[in-house]
Amino acid sequence: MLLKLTFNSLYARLLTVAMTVFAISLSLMLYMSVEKLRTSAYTSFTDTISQTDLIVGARTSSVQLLLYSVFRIGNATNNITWESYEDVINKKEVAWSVPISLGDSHKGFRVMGTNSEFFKRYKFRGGQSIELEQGNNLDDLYDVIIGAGVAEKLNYSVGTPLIVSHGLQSFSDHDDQPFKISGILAKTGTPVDNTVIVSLEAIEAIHVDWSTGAKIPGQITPVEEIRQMDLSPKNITAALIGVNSKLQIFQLQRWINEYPEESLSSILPGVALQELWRIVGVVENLLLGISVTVIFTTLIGMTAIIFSSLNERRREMAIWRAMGASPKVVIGLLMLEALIISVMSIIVSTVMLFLTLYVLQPWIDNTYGILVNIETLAVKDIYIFMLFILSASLVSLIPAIRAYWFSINDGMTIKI
Amino acid sequence: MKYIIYILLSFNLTTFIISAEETRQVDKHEHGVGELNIAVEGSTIEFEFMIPGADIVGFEYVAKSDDDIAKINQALKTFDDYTNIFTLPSNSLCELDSQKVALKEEDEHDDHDEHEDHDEHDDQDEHAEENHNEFYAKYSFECGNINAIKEVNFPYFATFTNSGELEVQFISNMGSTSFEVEGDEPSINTDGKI
Amino acid sequence: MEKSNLNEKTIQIDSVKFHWSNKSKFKLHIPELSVDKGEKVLLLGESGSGKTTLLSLICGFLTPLSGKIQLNEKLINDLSATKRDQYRSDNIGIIFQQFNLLPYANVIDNILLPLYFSKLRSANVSNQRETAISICQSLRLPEDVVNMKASELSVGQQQRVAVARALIGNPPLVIADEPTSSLDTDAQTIFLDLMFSQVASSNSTLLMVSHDKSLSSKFDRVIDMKNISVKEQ
Ligand SMILES: Nc1ncnc2c1ncn2[C@@H]1O[C@H](COP(=O)(O)OP(=O)(O)OP(=O)(O)O)[C@@H](O)[C@H]1O
Ligand SMILES: [Mg+2]
Ligand SMILES: [Zn+2]
Repeated sequence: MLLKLTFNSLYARLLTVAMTVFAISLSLMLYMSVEKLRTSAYTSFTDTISQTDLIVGARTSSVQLLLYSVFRIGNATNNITWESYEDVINKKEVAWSVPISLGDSHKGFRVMGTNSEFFKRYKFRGGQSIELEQGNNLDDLYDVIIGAGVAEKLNYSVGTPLIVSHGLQSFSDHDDQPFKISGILAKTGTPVDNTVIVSLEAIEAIHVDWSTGAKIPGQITPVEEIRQMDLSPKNITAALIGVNSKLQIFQLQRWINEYPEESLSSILPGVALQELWRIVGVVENLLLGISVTVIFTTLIGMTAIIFSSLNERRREMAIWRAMGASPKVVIGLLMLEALIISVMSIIVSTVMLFLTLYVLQPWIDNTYGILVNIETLAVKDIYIFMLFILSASLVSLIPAIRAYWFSINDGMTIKI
Repeated sequence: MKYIIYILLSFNLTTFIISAEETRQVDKHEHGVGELNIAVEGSTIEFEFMIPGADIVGFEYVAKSDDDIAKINQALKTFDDYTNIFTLPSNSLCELDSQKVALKEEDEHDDHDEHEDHDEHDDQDEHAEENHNEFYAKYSFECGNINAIKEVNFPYFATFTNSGELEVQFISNMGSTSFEVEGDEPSINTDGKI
Repeated sequence: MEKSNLNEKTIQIDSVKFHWSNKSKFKLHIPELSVDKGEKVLLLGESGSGKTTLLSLICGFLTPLSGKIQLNEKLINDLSATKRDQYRSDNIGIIFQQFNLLPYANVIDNILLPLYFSKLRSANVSNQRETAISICQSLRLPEDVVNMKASELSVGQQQRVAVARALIGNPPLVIADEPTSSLDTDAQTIFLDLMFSQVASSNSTLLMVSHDKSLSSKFDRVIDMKNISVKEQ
């Protein structure tokens, strides 16, 4: 009965109540999406690289090196020369290495030059290897292998021709040297899905007529001639390195960082990732702080709404009292109202969250390579919900106690 | 929602460009921050400390007075017993295999990279003399039950009152990670990481 | 309910004193007042004389500073607040001047509300919905009214629903604070007649407050505030 009447009462104020519920839902959703992104980003990132001991690149911050070499976010400030690379991999500590050359793109997807070691050594999600879903390895100079995401989004299949564009957002294409898709990789859930892979020699080949980032005017070397040229790479962007023994890592790292011929950085991927989380953590905490503040603001808003309705409902309280309702019932009624509002908000926010994530998931995946998990609510979310309900009830005590005083003091005198 | 991610990422990009200066490098030298590398391979675990002199003895210049030399010798002696620095769980059955303790003094700065470092320091006016000394200590253990190392404790912070933070790089077959340890919670949790 | 007995007192007040705790200078002192069971009493008095305050004391919303208030020979002023609330819902039907009903609830729910709080009164009603409808019928409320929202009724209809609510479950005492003041003369007469017949059929005692002396003839007894209360400085 009380529940039904409370619903009636809320329904009678549908617009105000709906707006309150909406505001609270939005703030809860904001909070939950930050949380979701945080956890999804964490698993996506940690799953992306495994079993690589060191990443070597030009001197830069460890986070930056990690981001551009593994996650294809941002750009390398400098390349490293092939000679330095060879010096590094000739060290006795090095067990294997994968050179990587980045810089060009195809329709927004990064083009990565590498060698066959990449397919053997690159591991993700606790040691899984990448596999060809269709087609063959890079046999010809102008062969490319594309990630599953590229194939899906551009609707490419084995044999499709492909033109590489110079730089990441450039207007000039390497259209004099078209490629052909030789293979498509199975989906990995890592940035590899959104990568176009060519050989290091191919990267050299398409830049034969280029010098320091610009096309040499009038120079077009015919493809036949290029095929005869020495295309051994002159520099690379980064290298993934595995060591023989973990005990030698720090020694090798120090040697690389102190390498006199060239300024190099070498990082432990897990360490750099940890550092990234510390940086991201600041922003995340900021966002979480903002969303918690927003939640509290809306809670206060809800209280204000209950409060402002209190005067006009003073008579209602008197009626309840005349029927024999104790002041406790009056308090309970208002708290019940807050409870209903907060539970509705939680439901609405969860539905909104999942709808939004469902709609945005492909976009987030494409743009940031973060696969948002939309299957379930985290246990933490449930705690937050309970905490929210608790604080909503507590906050609603304020108007409730005021109503209590009204109902005690008014007696039968009713003020409108 | 778009904006959240956008803000998140753009914020990050700018933040780590700023933080480029803070890059962890082996030749980095920052007062109040000691470095520790931990590597695990098979049943071997190695600890390698690189700690600025200021964190240990309170000064960085090359010790010339008897007093300062005594302080340094005392500190080196303290490093000789690793249990002054860190402790391993006894059920891990780790035996010290080899150790090396040294003071690295450097007072020449012709190297370009180090110059960068020094510009930074000079800005902060942290010390008058143009040199650093660094305590280096490396300990290698053979462990009967290496998986029992679920945490490492650091009496280091209590031993050296000038000590600041320890930045730890950690690697095992499970992958690499890092820790920041401070005196108020002088331990790291390596459970599941070995 | 026992048979009406003229010697049985529904209300018995002895030297009750009350004043509001705040700055209001108003002081109420009633040396003696009693209402017999089954009596229909009209309480007259000018505005501000303390009529509503007196009703609040009788209903147990307020407690007197001193003196005794007995309802059906039961001393109510030293009952605990919860017991007083319970006593009220079990024994008293209350009608206000206007806005008696929860505007968002329908007529049936409004009428049945007291039964929710009083087991005693709900025990007197075997089929709640039917009883509510039949009271509505005898109060000449249109049939379709019962399922309407209270806020959709006319003022006269609302007051009649309030009577239905006050009388459901046959409480021994009905207290009405100027229930007719928002009605015009014709509606007043109809309302009072309907209310009287319902009060009579449930054997209840009626204490009604009004400004309007012209209603006097319809009541068994008329009390004026200035005759029962003592002025104090
Ligand atoms: N809740 C209250 N708090 C403080 N003072 C009150 C309260 N209700 C009434 N009073 C004071 O008590 C006095 C009597 O008021 P009461 O409402 O009992 O008069 P009344 O006879 O019912 O008047 P009316 O005919 O206008 O309804 C007034 O002076 C009023 O100011
Ligand atoms: Mg009054
Ligand atoms: Zn190019």
